[in-house]
Amino acid sequence: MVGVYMSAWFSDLADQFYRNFIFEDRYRWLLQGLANTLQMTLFAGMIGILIGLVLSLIRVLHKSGAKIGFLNAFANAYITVIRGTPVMVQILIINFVIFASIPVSKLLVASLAFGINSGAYVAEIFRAGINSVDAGQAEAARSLGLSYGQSMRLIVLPQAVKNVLPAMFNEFITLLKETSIAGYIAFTDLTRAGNNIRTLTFSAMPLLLVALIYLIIVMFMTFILRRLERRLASSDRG
Amino acid sequence: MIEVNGLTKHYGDLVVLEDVSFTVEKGETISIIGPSGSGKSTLLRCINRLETPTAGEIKINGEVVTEKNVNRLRRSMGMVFQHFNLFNNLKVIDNITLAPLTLKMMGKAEAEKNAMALLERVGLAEKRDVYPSTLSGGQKQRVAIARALAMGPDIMLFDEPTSALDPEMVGEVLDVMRQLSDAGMTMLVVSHEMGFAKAAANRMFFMDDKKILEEGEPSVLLTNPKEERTKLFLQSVRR
Repeated sequence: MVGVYMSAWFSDLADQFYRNFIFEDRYRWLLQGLANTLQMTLFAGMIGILIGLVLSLIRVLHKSGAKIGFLNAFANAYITVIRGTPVMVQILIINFVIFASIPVSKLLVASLAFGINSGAYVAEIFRAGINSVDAGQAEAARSLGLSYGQSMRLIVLPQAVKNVLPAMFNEFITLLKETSIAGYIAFTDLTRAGNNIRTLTFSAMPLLLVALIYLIIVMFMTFILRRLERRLASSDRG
Repeated sequence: MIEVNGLTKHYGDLVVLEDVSFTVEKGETISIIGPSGSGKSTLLRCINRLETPTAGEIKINGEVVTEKNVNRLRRSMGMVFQHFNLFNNLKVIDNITLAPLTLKMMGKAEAEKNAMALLERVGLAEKRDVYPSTLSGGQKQRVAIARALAMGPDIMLFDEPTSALDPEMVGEVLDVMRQLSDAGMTMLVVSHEMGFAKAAANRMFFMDDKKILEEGEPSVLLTNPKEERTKLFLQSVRR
């Protein structure tokens, strides 16, 4: 009796698997979605680092007495607005308002939107990192005749980056997961691809698999972070 | 070699230095003592412009220190800090070669040879490839001295170089400073190591109330101070 139910359950499972992933090569939809998600996260991450580095340097320079009040006000406003509004609203505005009549790829729009968003968070992470480096480090460099820029680049920033590495990786993990709303501007990322299959099969399988894929990527990124931290800690242990 | 004229430093409403003037000749070792908050460190930091003076002027080898020429003039003034401030992200050898290489004063081979000679001099040649975090306080300070010397300075500024050290490590740092002084380096030393001052300093400044209250030969100033406040201070540090 139990054997009959078991075999029925298994054959149902195999049937579902076939309809969700094999029929019409639907696994390819997921692969394409995964590729889009990874590209979008990578581009957005790079844009975010660039924006974040510039914004944090503006704020640090301003605090150390440089006469860049206008730039600093802009940086503060940027960070306040971006962190004070939902990323969902931001991506909708960028797609349906700013790029409303400009024909560009959805990958570009999504990467830009998430990069602009991430930049505000990265700026705060970098700023905290730069402030975490003891002021004596820069003073020693300056006392040897190095310029502000040289002491920043050779002494302060390398230590700041090391200090903020865990926070940066967390930001990228968050970014990867946030990109799952890109479907709202009709960009077929991993989540959207999985949901597209679900609307055809009414099965739980595609979304469960999507969740599993995100989880595996996040676990992989965490693993990389641990290894990096161990390598960078060599200057603490010697 | 160093001329300080009317040096004044305010932090907002707080006056730290008021109209300080003095000159230091080539090869002199000056010991600066005084109660905490009397402006000793600020004085040193104004000389190499880590602090911007509120008023007054400082001349190094006849040249007035300004915001424009300070990076060049700092090359001729080494500074040693209370908390060492070795570059945590660089190995010992790279701590020493960083500035000569970055400022293109030497090629890599020459800079490393120079650094090794300096490490020999402070007795730490075997530490060339370790990171600062593995060194003891005394070793860190000796590397910091070597790092400052790598630029070939004419002047060395010491800002409480032994105050953060465990007692048994003070001697090794003072020995290096003593050698430097004997070799004719021009030195300004903020420190309460009276033994060092007596043995190595040509002159001693007692600072209090935002200025140099009394100056003289260390043996005279330490045993027979003129000012009441100098007497009180010396009694309190000897207790």
